[in-house]
Formats: sequence, structure tokens, C-alpha cells
Amino acid sequence: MSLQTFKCPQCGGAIQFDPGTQEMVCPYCDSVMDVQALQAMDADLARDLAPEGMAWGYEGEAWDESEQHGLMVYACRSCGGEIVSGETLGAAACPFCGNPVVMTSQFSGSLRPDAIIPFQVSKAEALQALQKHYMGKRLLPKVFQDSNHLEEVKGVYVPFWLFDAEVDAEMEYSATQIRHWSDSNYNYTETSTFRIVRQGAIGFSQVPVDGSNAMDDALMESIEPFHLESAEDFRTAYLAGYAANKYDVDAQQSIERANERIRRSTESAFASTVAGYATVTPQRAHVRLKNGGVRYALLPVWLLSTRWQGKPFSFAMNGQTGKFVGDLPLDKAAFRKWFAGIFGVAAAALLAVSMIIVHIM
Amino acid sequence: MKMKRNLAILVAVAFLTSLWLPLSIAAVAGTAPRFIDRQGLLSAEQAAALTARLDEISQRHHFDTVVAVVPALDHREAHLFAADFFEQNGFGYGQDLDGAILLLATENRDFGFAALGSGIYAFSPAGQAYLDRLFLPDLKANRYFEAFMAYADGVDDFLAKAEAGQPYIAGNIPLTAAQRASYRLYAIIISLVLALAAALIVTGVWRGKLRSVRRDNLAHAYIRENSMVLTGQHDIFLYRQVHRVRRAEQNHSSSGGDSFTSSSGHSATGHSGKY
Repeated sequence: MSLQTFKCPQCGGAIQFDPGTQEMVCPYCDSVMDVQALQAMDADLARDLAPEGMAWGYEGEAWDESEQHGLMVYACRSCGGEIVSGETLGAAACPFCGNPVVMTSQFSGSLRPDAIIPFQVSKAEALQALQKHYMGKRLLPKVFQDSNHLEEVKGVYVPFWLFDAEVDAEMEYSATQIRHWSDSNYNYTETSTFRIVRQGAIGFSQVPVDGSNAMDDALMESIEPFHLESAEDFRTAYLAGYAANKYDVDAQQSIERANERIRRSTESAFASTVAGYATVTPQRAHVRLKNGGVRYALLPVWLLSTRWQGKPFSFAMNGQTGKFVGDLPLDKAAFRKWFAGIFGVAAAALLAVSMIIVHIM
Repeated sequence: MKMKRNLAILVAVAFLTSLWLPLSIAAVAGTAPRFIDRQGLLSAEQAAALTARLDEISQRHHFDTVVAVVPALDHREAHLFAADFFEQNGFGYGQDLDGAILLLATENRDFGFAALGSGIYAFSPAGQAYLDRLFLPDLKANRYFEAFMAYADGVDDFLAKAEAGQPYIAGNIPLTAAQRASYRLYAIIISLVLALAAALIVTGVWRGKLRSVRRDNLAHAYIRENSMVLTGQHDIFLYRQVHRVRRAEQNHSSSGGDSFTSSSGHSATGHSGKY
């Protein structure tokens, strides 16, 4: 298995991609390297090193077949430590020396991503965003903010499938206009019914669908949109310092979700062109997708996890736009207190006002 | 002899005085008592108290305030019967016969109200509806004394307002105690419901702020700019339906309330109803 680490040419320390400068930075000697220049080094670094024969006389237990399934074993090129990981892991940090490593074989050949959006926001900004996420939430347990400890904060390049599509649509609606008038004896209601037809085309560009089973689809869709026009060609150097997974949900499996989103968006966009009616009811929708295209991309996501009262809480931040999401626990005692308080104050005020009105009637 | 003649003169004076006194009272206050009860609905004490109250109001406002109970009506509506009854019994102040009468016919539980002279100004149709609300609840519950006293108090209030130049008309009708009580009940219920809704909405919004993870079923963010083109756009009229509903009519439990003319030609206002 091929593994790539990124080392500073000056001091040999592990270097990482810095979202602030969009360059490779050595945290030990502060050297700064251009990603493009580092690309040239990739070829050299990719060379397989001959194994060093060192027999310790230890014959450990071999992985049995069931254990081996789904596992990959790599040797860290920095310290020689053995990295055991899931078969979808594409980049990580060596657990022994901390050097960022990239399993280049995960991103070679047909598995090579077409594009990548490099991280634009840093870990510090992600932590700040978490604190901001807690603010202004009256029903968040106060002790949650104070006592919960982040278990993990990691920048992950999540595999996404990006779907392009041209859509031909033909929509039919039944719509009504309503008019009221009266004479001395009757109240009249006139309902005019119309058949509305809309035909046309619409184009979608790079609709993302999460290609990783490990990622919660709702969490990934919540941090959208990604601005894919600023995506770069894939380079392994961008992965340095971050975790990365290769896809384990292929494009074919992702098409259904892309189609569903494109269909609903098309219906919504065409429905918005029907105006001036009291009611509009869809009767028929014919949506035909054509000229579809699929690309494979790695998109940056900060994942934060914490545990409170035995329950895990996950947060995600769009590594490009900084959009932060994550469900928070409810303080039931505070909820009851606020509910009773608002009800009491509102009831007292409304009763006082209504009694005054009745009194002056 | 002289003593006998003096006695004769005294008897004659007393006789003449006895003849003159009722006439003078009748000239001021009508020929019959202002409470006429031919069905014996009230006790003697209640009748005396009511009569005293009616007399006091009548004299203070120069406005004959009368209550009458009869067994039955003739062919006329109760308020027309009441107006004629008022005149035939010699009630009414001045040339226009200023006064008002509440007449009950017990046979079919009819009541009629009529006001003459300045009563037309004091008792507008809207005002008469308000007057009904003052005494009808007691009348329907057969609390006759309470009903008649409420009527007397109401007439007193109406006359005071009219004398102040602000007769009860639509727009300045006060609520009755029963109406006020029911409005208070509605106000309490509505206030509690609104307060509950406010608490639900506010805490619901706050709860919603804790939830930010949700699937995005649309792909609006990825629609290519200016890519939407409408090649066909038809709004085709199919048919029209007209539905009509008869307008609700004002539902009165009593009739009248407008001006009319009594049998003798005097202008009056009044209305009839059931109790």
C-alpha cells in the first residue's frame, strides 16, 4: 500500500496545508511552500522504499480473515509505525509520530478525485464557531456549555459526487381565482378555474451527494451549499494535516438522491412562475433529465463531537463557507419555566387589557 | 241654629273638597294609579312600593311612567294596545301626552312597550332594545316585582340621559350586567388561549433554534445562473362557478321599535315581544 507523508525540505518536520495562506507550512521552522511546487515532490515521495529487514523474532498472531476484511495496514514513512485503518481512510495522522500521512493509493487511478475544495477555515475558527453556536439559545442547558468536553475536532475531506443535469420540464396546474361581492339579499362568491401549463428548461450544476456511508447525510446537506466554482484540481498536498475518506457509496447509488433534489427544485422553480391565483394545485409534472455528468470531489468539513449525559452530539462546519450546524440538547426545566413564565405574563397582560376594554364598553 | 249652619257649611266644604281633590290629582298625575295589576301578580306591599317609585319618577321628570298587567290583548299588537291603554286611562303629561307604558298580557305572555310625546326622543329603537335587556331576564323568570322595578329604574336613567341631550342611541348603549359578565368570561377565555398560543410559539421558536440539522430536499443553490427558460406558458380559463348565500337577516325577538300613531292620533314609539 502506498503512503505519502509531507516533510519540510528544511528541517524534515511534518508540514501541513494552511487554510489561512492556502500554502504548505512547516510548524517547526515556519517554512512556507507553494502547493504547486510541492506537487513536483509528490512523484519522488511516491517511490516505494525497500523494506528494511529487521527480525525481532516475534511472530505475532496473524489477522484472521474476518478481521482483515475492511482493514488496511500502512507503514508510516516517517517513523515506520504501522497504521491500521479502515479501507476507506485516505488521509490521517500517524498515531505514533503525529506526521500527516496520505494513503495515495486510495486516490489513484479511477479513484482519483476530479476536484477538491481546500479548507478555507481553520480549526481555531471551527472552535470559535462552536462557541457562537451555543449563544442566543435560551433552552440550551447551561451546564452543557460549561461541562461538555470536545471529544474530537477533525478536519475531514468528505467524498462527494457532483451531478450536472439539464432538465426539460412540463408542468400542469389547476388554479383558481376568487371574487366576492354582495347585493341586498345575497353574498356571492365567484370561483374561476384555470388550467396552467408551464414548459421549459433549467440547468443544474454540481449538485453534491455525500459519497461516504460514515457521514450523516442530513448533517452533510445541512452545511450546504458549497461553492464549487472555486474548486481546484485534486492534489494530494491539500490533504496534509486532515483526514480524508475515499467514497464507499458509488455514483450509481447516489443518483437517486440527486434526481430527487433536482426534480423537487425544478417543480418549485416552475411553480414560482404561476402567480395571481388564490390556489394553485399541481396536476402533472413531467421532468426529464438529460446530459447528466458526474464528478468526484473531496469537500472540506470540520467535524466536532462531544458527549453529554452519555449521549453523543455531533457538529459539522462547512470548511469552505464556515456554515456551522449541529443539534443541541433541550433544557426541559428551563423549557417549563419559560413556558409558564411567558404564559403567566401574557395572560396577566391580556386579562388586564381585556378587562379594561370590557369596563369601558 | 248658627252652629247647625256652620256644620252644614263645613260638610259642604268637605264634600266639595272631596270632589275637587281627586280631580286635581288626576289633572297632575292621570286618572288611574301608575301601576295597574288586573292579574294580581304583585303583593300589596310590592304594588305600593312600585307605585311610589313610578310616581316619583313621573313627577320628577314630568313624564308618566306606567306599568299595567292585563289578562289578554285584543286583535292589536301589544305595543299598539299599550299606547291606547295609556291614553284611555288618562295618562300623559302635556299636550303630547309625555309618558311611557310597559304592558303585560298574561294569557300568551306578551309584553308591549309604548312611549309618547317626549318619549319618542328618549326611547330610540336601539334604546328600547337595551331597555328590554334590563327587565326581560327577570320577567322571563316570573320575577315580576324585580322586572318592573328594573323597568322603572331604566326609564329613570333613559329620561335623565335624554334631559342631558344624550339619549341612548346605537353607539352609546351601555352593556347590561349580564352582558358585561358574559363578555368578561369571553375575555378570560380568549386571554388564556392567546397567552397559551404566545407561550407555545415563543418556546417553539426557541426549541427550533436547537435543531439545525435537516435534509435539504431542494437543489436551488446549484441552479445554473439564467439557465431557466420558459418555452411555453399558458393560462387557460376553463369555467366559472358562482355560489350565492342569502344574507343573514336581523333576528329580533320583538317587533316594532319605530314610530307609530295611536288610535287618537298621537305620535308614539314602541315594540312588542314575548316574555
